[in-house]
Amino acid sequence: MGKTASGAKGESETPPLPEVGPTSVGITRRGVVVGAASVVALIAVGGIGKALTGEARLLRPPGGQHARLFDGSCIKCDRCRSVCPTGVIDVAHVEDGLIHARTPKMDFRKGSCNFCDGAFRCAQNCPTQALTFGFDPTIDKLGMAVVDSDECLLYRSGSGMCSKQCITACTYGALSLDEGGRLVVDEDRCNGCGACEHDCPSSSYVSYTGSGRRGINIEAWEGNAS
Amino acid sequence: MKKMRSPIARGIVCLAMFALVAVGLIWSTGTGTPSSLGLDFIATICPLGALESMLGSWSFIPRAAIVLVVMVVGILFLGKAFCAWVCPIPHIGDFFKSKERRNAEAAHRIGEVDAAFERQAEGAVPERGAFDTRHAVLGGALVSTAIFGFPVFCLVCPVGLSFASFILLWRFVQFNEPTWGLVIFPAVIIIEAVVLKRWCRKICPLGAFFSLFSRYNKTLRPTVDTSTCLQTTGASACRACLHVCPEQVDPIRDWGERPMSECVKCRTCADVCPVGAITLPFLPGHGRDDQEDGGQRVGETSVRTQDDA
Repeated sequence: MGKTASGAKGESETPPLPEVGPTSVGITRRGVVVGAASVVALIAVGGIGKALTGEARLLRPPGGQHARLFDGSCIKCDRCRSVCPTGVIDVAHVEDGLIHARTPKMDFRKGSCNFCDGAFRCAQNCPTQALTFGFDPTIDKLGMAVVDSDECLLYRSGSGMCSKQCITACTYGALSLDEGGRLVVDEDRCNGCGACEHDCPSSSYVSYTGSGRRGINIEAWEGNAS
Repeated sequence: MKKMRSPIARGIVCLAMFALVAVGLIWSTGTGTPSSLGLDFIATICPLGALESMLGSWSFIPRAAIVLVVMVVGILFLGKAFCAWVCPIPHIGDFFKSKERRNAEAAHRIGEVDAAFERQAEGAVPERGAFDTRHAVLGGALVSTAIFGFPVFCLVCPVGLSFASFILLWRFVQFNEPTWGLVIFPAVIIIEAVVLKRWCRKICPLGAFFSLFSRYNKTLRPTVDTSTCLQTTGASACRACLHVCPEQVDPIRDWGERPMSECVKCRTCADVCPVGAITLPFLPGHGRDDQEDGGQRVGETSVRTQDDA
């Protein structure tokens, strides 16, 4: 704050200018009020976001099954969705819950997960480890295949009407027909990869009910941590 | 006067970010958005996002922490350059301003700058706090994230929402996938960038985070060659650089309403200087190159900013 002349050389018409010393921290009363209001506003944004988000569980890419850790660390950068080689990773919208908007979710109409043969490109690209490595397709589950008896042609019209693409598509041997010719899921073997839902012809060719569902659909699995 | 090339360059860099996102959308490269840009393990991360991801999940995330440190080192070298070169919000704000509004704002800024200059010429000290409301927003965002368990600021971040809107629009065309996000995201951006006129200066927690470290930034700072500057040589009372600085920084003596640490490296001051006395050298203390203007650079007489004291 000393009033020393500046280092400008030469005489000038303007008076010598003082150097500016360190300034005060400068927190005014108004600053404190506005600052406190800002903190309250941000907490309100968090509370509103949480309140407007239902309990709906979304199907996450492999490694994102622990809901609390995933919700806490996903920064919505879009890299997992962008890099997915099968296109199964879709983007969630505000309709999926306010705080889930822009996060990745699995859409088995667009593709199915082959876990990149163990490479897990999505987890590799996740900068915040919201998707973690270590997903074991023989133990862990993205979700669970559930047969919809209203849509499955094997239930509706008998096995003669469907070429059973789902059973062929399942590389984990989780799908089979019971003695009545109806589709059943082995819940131990199913890991929710979605190949069955992706290949299911129901509601893509013969959609009478308009439910938008297929004969077999991957649903949230209660065994995954919330 | 030199041609005003910097605004065009800044616009191109910002648009290049959208092009990079488009590349990721077309070729599945996983390049991402400015929230995180890169390939596989090599990537940048939004420093605020990295902090939020750890607070939101209540866990230490090595990957986010390592990249966060790299980002902080980047800020030490680049200061707040992100604000002028990457962030789309200033461009969006400008787009919605009428020419009259822009002129009125410029006139108002010049008035403020001149008044402050006169006060300081008489020995007054600019009242510049080390912390402001932006830092309160930053703190509030981090506390809220820890309470509610998700990255709260990401929800309303105008930068993230700009790129998210772009992706939604892209997917709307590609998959005919309508969502309320196509309306809500741009609406939030408009509220923040257009209605809350002072977003960058008073609210943005990302800018607040940058400013915590840009205080120590010495590289690429506007440096005035006092042997040619019209004001320091006394040739005139020229304040062209002060008048145009969007951050109200004073490149000559750091007497501005806001300190040099708020410089966004936009180069507007260098563009507008009638004698080309302002450069943004990578190394501190290296002003205009001797060979370039044939002039004499007198390093010892360059005006010291307060941080150098």
